[in-house]
Amino acid sequence: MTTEPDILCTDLVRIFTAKGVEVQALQGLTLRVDPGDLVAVVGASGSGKSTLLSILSGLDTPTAGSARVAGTDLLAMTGRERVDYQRHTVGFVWQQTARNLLPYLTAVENIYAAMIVARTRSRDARAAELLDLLGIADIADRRPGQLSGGQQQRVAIAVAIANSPRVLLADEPTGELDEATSADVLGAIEHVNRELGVTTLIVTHDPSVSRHVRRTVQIRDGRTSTEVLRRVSVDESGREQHHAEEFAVLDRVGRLQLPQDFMASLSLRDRVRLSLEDDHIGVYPDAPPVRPSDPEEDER
Amino acid sequence: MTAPSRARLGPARLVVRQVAAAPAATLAVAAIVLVSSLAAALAPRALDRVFTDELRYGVSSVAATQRDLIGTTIGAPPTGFEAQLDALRADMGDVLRASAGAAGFVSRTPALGAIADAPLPDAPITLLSVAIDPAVADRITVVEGAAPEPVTPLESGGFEPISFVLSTESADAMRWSVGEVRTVRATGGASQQFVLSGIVEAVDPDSDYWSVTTSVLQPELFDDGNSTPTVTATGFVNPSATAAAWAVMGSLSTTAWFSLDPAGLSFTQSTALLQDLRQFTSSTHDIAGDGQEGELSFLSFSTGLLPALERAEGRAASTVAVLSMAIAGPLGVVLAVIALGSRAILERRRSGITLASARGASPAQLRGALALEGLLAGVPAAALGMLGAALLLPAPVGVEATVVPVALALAPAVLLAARAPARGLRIERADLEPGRGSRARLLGEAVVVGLAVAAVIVVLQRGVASGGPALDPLIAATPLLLALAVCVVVLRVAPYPLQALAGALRTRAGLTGFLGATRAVRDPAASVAPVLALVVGVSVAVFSGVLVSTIDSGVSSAARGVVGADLQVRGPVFDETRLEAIASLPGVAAISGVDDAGPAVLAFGGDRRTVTVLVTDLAGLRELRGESAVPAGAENGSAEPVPAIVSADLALEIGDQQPSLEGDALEVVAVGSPDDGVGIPTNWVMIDASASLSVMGVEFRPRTVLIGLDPGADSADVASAVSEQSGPGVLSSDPASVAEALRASPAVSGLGSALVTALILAAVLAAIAVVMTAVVGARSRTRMLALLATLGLPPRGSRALVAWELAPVGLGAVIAGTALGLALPWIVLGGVDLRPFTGGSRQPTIVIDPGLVLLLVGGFAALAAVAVLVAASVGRRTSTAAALRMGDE
Ligand SMILES: Nc1ncnc2c1ncn2[C@@H]1O[C@H](COP(=O)(O)OP(=O)(O)O)[C@@H](O)[C@H]1O
Ligand SMILES: [Mg+2]
Repeated sequence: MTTEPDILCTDLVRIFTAKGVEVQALQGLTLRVDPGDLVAVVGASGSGKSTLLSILSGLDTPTAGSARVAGTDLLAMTGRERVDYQRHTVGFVWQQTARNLLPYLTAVENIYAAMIVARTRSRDARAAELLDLLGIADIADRRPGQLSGGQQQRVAIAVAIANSPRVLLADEPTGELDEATSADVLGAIEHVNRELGVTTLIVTHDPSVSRHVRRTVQIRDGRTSTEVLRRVSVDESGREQHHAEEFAVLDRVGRLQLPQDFMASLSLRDRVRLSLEDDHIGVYPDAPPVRPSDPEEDER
Repeated sequence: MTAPSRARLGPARLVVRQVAAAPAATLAVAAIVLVSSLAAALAPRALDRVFTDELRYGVSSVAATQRDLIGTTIGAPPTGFEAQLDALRADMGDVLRASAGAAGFVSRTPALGAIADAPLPDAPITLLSVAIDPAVADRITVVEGAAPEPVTPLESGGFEPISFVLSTESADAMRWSVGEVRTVRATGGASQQFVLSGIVEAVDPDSDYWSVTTSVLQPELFDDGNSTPTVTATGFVNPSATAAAWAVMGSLSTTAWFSLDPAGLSFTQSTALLQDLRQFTSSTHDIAGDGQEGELSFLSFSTGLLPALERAEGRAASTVAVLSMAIAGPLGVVLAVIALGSRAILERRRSGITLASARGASPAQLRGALALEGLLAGVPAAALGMLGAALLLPAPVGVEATVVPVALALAPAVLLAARAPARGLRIERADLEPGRGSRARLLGEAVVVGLAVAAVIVVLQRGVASGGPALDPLIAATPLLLALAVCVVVLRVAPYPLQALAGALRTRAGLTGFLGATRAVRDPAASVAPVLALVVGVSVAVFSGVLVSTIDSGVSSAARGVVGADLQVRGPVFDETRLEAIASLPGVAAISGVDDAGPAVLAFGGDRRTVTVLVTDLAGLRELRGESAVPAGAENGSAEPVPAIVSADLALEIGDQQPSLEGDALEVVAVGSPDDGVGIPTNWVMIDASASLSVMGVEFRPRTVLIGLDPGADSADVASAVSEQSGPGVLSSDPASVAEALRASPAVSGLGSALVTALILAAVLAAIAVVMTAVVGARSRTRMLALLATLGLPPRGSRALVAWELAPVGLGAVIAGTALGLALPWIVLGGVDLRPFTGGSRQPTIVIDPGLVLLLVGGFAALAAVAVLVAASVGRRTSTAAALRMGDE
């Protein structure tokens, strides 16, 4: 390991308990994001994305596992460290404007408010810089209610990075936007990531987001299952070639999730046979596929 | 990018912007603080005013001549007496000294016969007393003859004729002309000649001096028509003649005084004045003498002002005690409502707080911001309230009067800061986890109930604390503690009938009914504040009602006790003829003459006691009061032992021992209540007129007549008929007029208006609490309503839901509050002396006026219902879409 990753979650577990009912939102999630990286986490609704993000933003505490963000251990944070963490280490953008911006303050005042909370100095210069960076100088004196959805999210991004955090977290930042505006907002996040080098994690259920990021992590049932890495190369004729390669995620103890369609096409269930070959591992069905009266099947 | 408005955006400004964005809740809290601090600041000022009025009323009821500090002692004033009196004045307490005038004194001898050398045949018997006053020259002017000369001793003992002066009236009545010499025979048998040297007139005949130095301006005449008339007059001798006067007349008494002028005295000073007066009058002041025979060696003073001040003080103390009970509840409610208001503020700031906290606002920052908002809500409002009070009722009040307004000013800040969340806010689903925090709740409830029970036990055991401290914190807090305890019970018990109701409604149609009842059980909106407000409001109303009817009937029965019958007339001696004439007046049903035969010694067992003997016509009294009060045979004064009625306190002491009055054996045939003693509450013995001569040795000479009237007869008509018959100087009183005079006391009427104010305050607070509760609960309710609207619930269901939120608990609170209000008088009135209000000699019995109670409770219930309706319309502002999105958070 050459550098320490900015986000490192290992076997992260979050269990919600309400009146005896347990919901395992995260069941041993492992995730690593290197400094300056731009990563998307995609997954179906209810797969635990928001839970992950609220843990990373210091609003929630995991039940088990470990989570380190920019050198801070999120499980062993004191109250004072949490305040400091939220002020200077992370910034976030949520889906709803109401959770990002105060409706009674103008765009620029919202930026100021974030800096006041964090006791950041030389606010005027920083505010000017941010307005410039996100191209919102012309709407600086409008209130959120007077802004379009895309403009609101741009302002929200500016607010999130007002205190120069190491990590920017975004939970469904385009959830309420149309396609064109979504692309515009994602472009803004990319721009910020590139310009400031802030490590960025976007969470979304919208698979199209992955087009804007280098790395997409798929989470399923509270666990990271596959990763898609994207690379751009230029071919002989000078045209840009987009390569997307899908990987399954392997955790420390060797667990991995097989893609759903793989399992379906071979009717894999309950048990598989493995065989170690020279350069790969073979996965075989337990038995011939059609055995309707198998008692083990009735167990389910 | 550095527009000035932006650049100035700092932490404080941020809070101000936040408040300005959604000021409703903050303004509501500010309004509550304004009104309550105004009331809290007005209360001591208003009370000071009432008590000052009461004080002046009390002082004005004392005759001017009785207000001065006066002391009379046997003996002559030593030299330097004036300086010693000045020293006494210097030693007085500050407040007393400020209202005490310079000292004065006069010495006088007893009156002895002055016999002319050649008395005229029809000359009256003349008795002369002489007075010596060093300041006499300032009091009289000589209009004829000359001022008295110093005395010249004779070698043979005695003096040359002593010169003195008389007023014109005295000289005329004594038929003593200037220059005439008469001989006064002293007690030892020696005689001394006196010569009238001049006639004088008073410089100021209206001066109080002449009520101390009597029989100077006007001689005393006694003429019973049979024997020779007697004229008694006092003359002044030369101020240096003290020793001579003493030697000649055998005795000398000296009266010293300080005039007291408490006009303009305010109540705050009266406590100090009373203390100073008690101290000055309770001690005997030593006077240093010259070692001469017959000198006085001490002085003690008294004033008629003392009882008047004590009465005013007693009324003030009882008023404060009663009001503190009536006010502590509403004050508790004010705090609860402010707490509710800060919850509403917190609701409004929820998104801002959550955001700030997520962005790394420290708990201290959040607390600071909320405290700042609390200060914005509380401090200007309370300052305004205090200023308003000072402008409305300028009165000198101490710092202690600002304690409550200052507390109110700070309450929102403290409550908001205390509520500031350690880590942002999350929506908690109370319905899923009803057990959460139940241990803390149970503990809190146990503490409240325990404190209430302990307070009740202590208060009941203590009994009437007459003359105790004006403000007893325990008694003041007891009603509030009880209200809190009742509140706990209501909140605990209310779910059970509701659960049953929800079960019953589930099977019926009507979604709202079922939902409402279920929600009221699972997610109760009604917190402590509205229930407390209703319980306190209703109980204060009922308690005030009971108090008013109790005092009212106490005043009436005390007035009846003072008068003793439908009508009482006093004045000259009512002889047989006069009594018969009164009895035959139209409208008169029965009469009984009463003769206060004065003190006499009652002996029983080994005890001897000085009692007041009331000689009455017991047969007439039986007609007035019935067989049970005056048994048959009581009027048989020649029986042995003599039948007698004794006061209850005496009866208790006598027990079954054999009493005898002035040596005559008595038989106690009845025990009188304090009201039977015609204004004398205790320590009296009543015997029949026929026993007067044999027991008391005096004829029955009633100066008071108790009159029973025919139904419908007018007491004023009868009274004027009596005074027409018996001549002027007949005074009459009836229970109604006596009661009216009692009620005219500023303290008594002030208590009434104070109770009404407390009642209105409590009612307004209850209404505010109900509306506020609906506002605080609006968020969760609109969310549910929005959800239900998508299922097709009609919008008017919302009103029903609000009603369901508040009505069941509200109803419970009104019922429990009524019960508490009815129980309170029995619990707390034992600890408060109500006699200052009724003027009676015993604590009035508690009287419940069912009509008044029903009216008050009904009014309260109606008010609460209106408040619920208002609350219902308040809670319907948010749009469905907004509410649903809010729910996502
Ligand atoms: N505060 C909570 N209490 C109980 N269950 C929760 C809570 N937050 C999330 N969950 C549950 O955890 C699971 C994951 O939720 P979430 O992280 O919000 O998923 P996503 O954001 O991917 O849609 C869901 O089943 C959700 O119901
Ligand atoms: Mg989510």
